[in-house]
Amino acid sequence: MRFVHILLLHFEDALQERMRALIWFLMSLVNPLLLILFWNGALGKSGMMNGWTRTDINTYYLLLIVTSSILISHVEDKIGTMDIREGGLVRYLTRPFSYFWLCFFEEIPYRLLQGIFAVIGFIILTSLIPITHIPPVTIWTLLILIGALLLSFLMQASVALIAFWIVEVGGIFDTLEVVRLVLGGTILPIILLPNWIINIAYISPFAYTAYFPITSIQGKLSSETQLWVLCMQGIWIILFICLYKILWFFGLKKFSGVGQ
Amino acid sequence: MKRYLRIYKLLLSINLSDLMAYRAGFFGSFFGTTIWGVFHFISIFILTSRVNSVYGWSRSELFILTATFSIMWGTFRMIFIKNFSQFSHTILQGKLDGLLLKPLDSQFLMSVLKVNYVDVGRIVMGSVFMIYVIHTYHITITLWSIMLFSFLIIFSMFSAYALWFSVSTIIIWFPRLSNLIELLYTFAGILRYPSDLMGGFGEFTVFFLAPILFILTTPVKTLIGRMSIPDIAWLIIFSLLFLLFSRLFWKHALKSYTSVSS
Amino acid sequence: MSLISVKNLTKSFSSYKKQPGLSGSIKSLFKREYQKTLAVNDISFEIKKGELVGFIGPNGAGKTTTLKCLSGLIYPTSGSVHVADFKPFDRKNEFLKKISLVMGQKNQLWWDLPPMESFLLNKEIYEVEDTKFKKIIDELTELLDIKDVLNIQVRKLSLGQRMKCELVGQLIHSPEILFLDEPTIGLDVVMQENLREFIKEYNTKFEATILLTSHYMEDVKKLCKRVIIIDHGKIMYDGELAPLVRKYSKNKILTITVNKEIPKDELSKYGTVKEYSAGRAVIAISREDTNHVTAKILDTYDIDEFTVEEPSIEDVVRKFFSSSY
Repeated sequence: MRFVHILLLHFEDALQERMRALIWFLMSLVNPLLLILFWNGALGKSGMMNGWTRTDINTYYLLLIVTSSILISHVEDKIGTMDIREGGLVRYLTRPFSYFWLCFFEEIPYRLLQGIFAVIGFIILTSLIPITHIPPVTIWTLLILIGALLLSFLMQASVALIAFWIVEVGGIFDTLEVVRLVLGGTILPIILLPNWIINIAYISPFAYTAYFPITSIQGKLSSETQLWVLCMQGIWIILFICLYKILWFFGLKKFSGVGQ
Repeated sequence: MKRYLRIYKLLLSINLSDLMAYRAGFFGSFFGTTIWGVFHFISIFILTSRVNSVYGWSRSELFILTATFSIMWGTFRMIFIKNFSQFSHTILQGKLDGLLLKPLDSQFLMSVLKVNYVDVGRIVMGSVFMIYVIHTYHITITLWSIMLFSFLIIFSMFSAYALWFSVSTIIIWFPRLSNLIELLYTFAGILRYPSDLMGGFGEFTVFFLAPILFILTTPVKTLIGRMSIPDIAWLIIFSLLFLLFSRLFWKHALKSYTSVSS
Repeated sequence: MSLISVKNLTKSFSSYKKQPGLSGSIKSLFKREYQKTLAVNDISFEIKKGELVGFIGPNGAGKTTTLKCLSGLIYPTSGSVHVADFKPFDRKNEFLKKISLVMGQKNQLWWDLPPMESFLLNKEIYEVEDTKFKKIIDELTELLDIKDVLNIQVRKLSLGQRMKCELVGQLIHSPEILFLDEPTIGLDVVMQENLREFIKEYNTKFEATILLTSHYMEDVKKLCKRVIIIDHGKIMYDGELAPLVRKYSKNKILTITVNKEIPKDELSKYGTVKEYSAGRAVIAISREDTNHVTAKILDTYDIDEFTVEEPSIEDVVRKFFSSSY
């Protein structure tokens, strides 16, 4: 019940910050739209690349806008910089809540608000940009989406805990973001990347937070592939839970709460 | 003018001292900015790995555009980025008061007080990549094209500055919208692509976004021997007008400045 | 001829009201209610060169807003302001070189560098000549006793040292007019006293005109002959401090210490007993009867020590405000 309260309070906060939320959303539009234009020019007369048509590409990037708004968390700055490095964590440690779940429930309203903007944006853009037919969302796709959200959050939260030991975490967060953009299929659908990158991407967790959720919505994944994706998400989620617990246990011992 | 140059020289030296005083921050920031610089090169490699030309631009020409972006963007970031990032903070924390009370132009102080030396990395990366591409792809560059390119890049910088400063000025009315400037950084990504891209979206978009796109495409076109006099004229006129606008807008905004409470 | 002249100055701000709760937030998505606040409401006053004036009032009274209008930071809604023959909001360089607005806890020094580096930057900005710069640094650092810390990084200095360095930074250009906004806020008692001494010295030595806002009545009591009291944006009193005390306090405070205890009821005959303990009492006695009462008590009882004082400024001002409503 108390988590519902926290959720509502942060939703209120998110609404107050709606202009900021709108701007974050506009930011998520720019690169995908540019890439749609890029491919419009690049694909030439044939309009095909490795079995992907121009409209497939359009659909992919437009769905990227929606999924990155809803599924991709950016809690590393809050956890790593504000809470750990700047000492904000002291306020949470004295409360009878799990810090992890508190952060998670604080994050949800912002994802929802971004999601609302994203869906509205998607509807408007699809009236201007031709896309392929999107099949109805199946239970497997829904599970993959939930898995992506959890995995994204866990990954960011776990990496953020490095701030217990390292002062300059900004560089590490930037590196992670760059790697996520490349291996997550943000520049190009993973299947269209050079082969050696595809192999690395499929074993990294990043592909399961963006590329696979999108292609699942597009209906490009067979049932076997969807099951495999869910298994991989599960494995990565378990790995990150373990990592988080270990880092939290040792990190808290090191935490000194300076600055508060 | 002399006075401002003297003060800027002093600011460069103070910022360098400041950098030396806090070395830990330097390495982290240097690494971060370099990674993003590398990302732009990786992006263009990946995007052009399966196609040879985009809107009439060859792979090597797109590389030159990316390298130019790295140099210009690195220079822009070095001179301005810390100041723009702090714009919202400066206003919200009342530090703008301190700047407004100095007998020095407030736009100058808001724009150049801090120098971000870590972005030298991007300038170096871009220059090295540029030389590599020119050499590897045997691109013909004349002295005249280099001079014209260098001259036009200054106007590119004026345009980018005017855009950033004008948008940042909006923060005087909405101090909480610090991510407005973040939005601009995302828009900066547009500069990496040729302006011809916009043709794909129709005239409306071209009209709206063309000024931004011409910022870099025009100087690069002069470098690779595809000079266009109308584009050059457009860049120069636009950048000067936009610069003037940013100044007038700032002066107008200061009238609405309410200052934070004590 | 007044150095600072304010006529019918008004400044209003608008802010929006939000209802609490989630429904309030959703409502405010569609409709926002704005309200206008008059921070300063038609005030007028004049200050002559060399005066040290206290500007007092409760939180939100309009003190800081007035100072900001005087220094050109914010644009008045209406009325006129002239400081040293300049219109502050024009923010001419010649005007800015004459003034300094010092706001209690605002930091302008570069955090990771020694204060001297920031002073040198200010020297360039204010175009202070080398010899003059050296002289002013010597004088100010002597007055504030911070000669030894000029080349230590600001982040390594104590709060007191930092504040003194911030002050020096703001005075490099020897401003003739100082606006001090809560200069002693957050400082310990010793620092507050040091700062007051400094302000007094600066006023005397440099003939500077100083307008100071403060919550601490000690600041006002020790520094200012003249006070301007402001509340809800309006000037309630503008004049010397002494008459204010005399007008709004009918009493004086008599404090006695005794060797042999005097019953409380007996002391009540002379006035209102404010504090009472075994060997000590504080009595509020009527101002007119002070001499008579004091003499009687000294004659009647075996008094060890006694003092007669004016009531605290806080009490006077509190009474002043309560009588204004």
